[in-house]
Amino acid sequence: MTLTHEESFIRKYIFSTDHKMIGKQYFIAGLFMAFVGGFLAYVFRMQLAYPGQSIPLYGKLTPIGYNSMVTMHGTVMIFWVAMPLLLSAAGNILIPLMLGTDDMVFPKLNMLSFWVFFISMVILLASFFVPGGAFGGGWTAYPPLSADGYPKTPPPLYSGGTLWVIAVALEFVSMLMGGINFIVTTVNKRAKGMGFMDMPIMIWMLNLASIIFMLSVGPLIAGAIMLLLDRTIGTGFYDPARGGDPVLFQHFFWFYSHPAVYIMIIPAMGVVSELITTFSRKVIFGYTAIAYSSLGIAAVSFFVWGHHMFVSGQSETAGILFSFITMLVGVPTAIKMFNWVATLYKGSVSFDSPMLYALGFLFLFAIGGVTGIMLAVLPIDVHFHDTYFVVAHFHYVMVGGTLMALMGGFYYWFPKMFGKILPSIHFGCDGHATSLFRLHSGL
Amino acid sequence: MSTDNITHPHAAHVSHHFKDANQEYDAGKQGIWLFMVTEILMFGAVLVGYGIFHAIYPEMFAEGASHLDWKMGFVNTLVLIFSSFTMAISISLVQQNKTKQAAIALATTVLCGAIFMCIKYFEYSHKFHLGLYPGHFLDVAKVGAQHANLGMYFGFYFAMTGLHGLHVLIGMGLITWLLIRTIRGDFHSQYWIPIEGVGIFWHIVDLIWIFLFPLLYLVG
Repeated sequence: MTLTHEESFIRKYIFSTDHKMIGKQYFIAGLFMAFVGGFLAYVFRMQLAYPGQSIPLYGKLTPIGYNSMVTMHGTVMIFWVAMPLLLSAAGNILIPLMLGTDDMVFPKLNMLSFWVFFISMVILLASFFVPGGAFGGGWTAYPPLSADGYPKTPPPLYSGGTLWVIAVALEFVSMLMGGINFIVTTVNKRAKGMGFMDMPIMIWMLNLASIIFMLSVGPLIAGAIMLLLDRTIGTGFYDPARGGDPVLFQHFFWFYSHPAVYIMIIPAMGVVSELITTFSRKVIFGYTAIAYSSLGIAAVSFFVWGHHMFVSGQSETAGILFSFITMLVGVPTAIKMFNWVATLYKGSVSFDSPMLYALGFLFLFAIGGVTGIMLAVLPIDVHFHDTYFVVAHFHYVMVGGTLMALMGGFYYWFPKMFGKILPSIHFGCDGHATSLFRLHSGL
Repeated sequence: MSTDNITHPHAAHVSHHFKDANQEYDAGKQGIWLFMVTEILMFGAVLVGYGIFHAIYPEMFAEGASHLDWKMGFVNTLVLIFSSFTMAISISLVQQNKTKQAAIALATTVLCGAIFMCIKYFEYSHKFHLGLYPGHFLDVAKVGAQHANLGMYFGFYFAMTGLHGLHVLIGMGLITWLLIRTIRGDFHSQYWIPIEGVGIFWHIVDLIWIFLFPLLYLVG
């Protein structure tokens, strides 16, 4: 074997097994989907601002179209933007580099992972163009509406909703292959002498996110298959009219989708840990505390899914337990916040673009965390349920937390990815903060 | 492509990005077990669904189970357990460099998978013949069902056995691939990870059937 050999264009840029190239592929695909998801948000927010008027670049929005826009915005932003960018792109680029190894343990599986992701993306985008339009049953796809073949115009076999279920299931399969790679690579291919407690915090976070993903996604894949059967052949697992139970799907869905929130926020916390240490020129304060508290979040994350179902008819005892355990999440999260602030203390802080995003993260994520505790309180949540307060809380965590960290990490690691330093562009913290605060007040 | 490869030349079977054969072995085994965890969780969730509705509609499930032929299921159980045995000995044979016997063991495993799928085919076509379709395709009047939602039982039956059957088919494909590589002489006493990985997959698929058989055919 020679040390270097020219690879063909296809092997180098398209069906590449190189972790850096796969990371870039994920990055570009995720960025593209971010624009799609952003456009969808623009369309339905314009509809709210100017009801019934023709929207520039889109036209008139029908009521069913509005449902599709909201549903697809949520789906795209979570499954095709936040997860691939923070977990797949960051993981692929950073894990081998930070561990000091040449590639992932399963490079071909890694390539397959991206191409399955790509297929899922194509199926999801195609669902906009089938008769009846894209799925409009909410990103949570609650039955009986979703199990009933909504919207009913095209045959359910190729309606937007069916394509939605298939695309989401494929995306899970793709992330699963990535997750196997990340965990096994970290366990086996650390540089000589690097123990688990010597790894960069980012590696801890990426692996914890992968573990959470691996241990929670199976039930939802099963749940999605059952939903698909309900839509296509009317098995009635979730349809009360056929003796089924819609709450069963909610259990399957939230058993995965609540931990999924941590899958997105935990790598973001890793990014912030890296940024704050670099730009305050200090070693992270309380490495062990951060690592173990993240492990705590990962463990607790499997036992909080019921807080999405306080008004779905679960027993009061279960509600109280879920409420209590959910509030526990605040403890390891707060430990990390204090560690970051303590890292800044007496550091030589420089306010470069990535650092501005990290500091923005601290403020906005704190607000998202506090509203999270409010929502965890059972008697309060009963009133807040399905209001803009929940939407605002979620967007504080996802935009104020995840997206801010993502932008910071993008500026910080851009030179590693592309070999060029990115000129500092505007810092968008204030825009996020004000528009999100308006969501809380119900505008 | 680190310089490691130049200073420490590998045995031919070790992929270039691994330090040595041990690392490759550990990584492969951990990877397949992680994948199995998600498989078990996925089938586990379907079993949870089955358990919940079995508790709500015990009579309807009993009626559904009465339409199944436990003898066919039992034969299939024996066939799969035997195939697990042949899969397991193929590894031990490769470790002793008995390539020819290992190939026969692998071929027997594929054959058992094929027998399993044939019996499944006869079971399915018999159900279709009687009009026992899943979901709303099940005509309650024609079948003479006592419970209006019998379609749900057959939903579970076809979903669980179908998902399992799909895994058997994939396993058969993978074992055929192993068979070709074994005949080609890729595996020997120093290298058998793919056989072990596919073997673990095959055993888990068998194990899932061990759960499905009593739940669908015998309970109720």
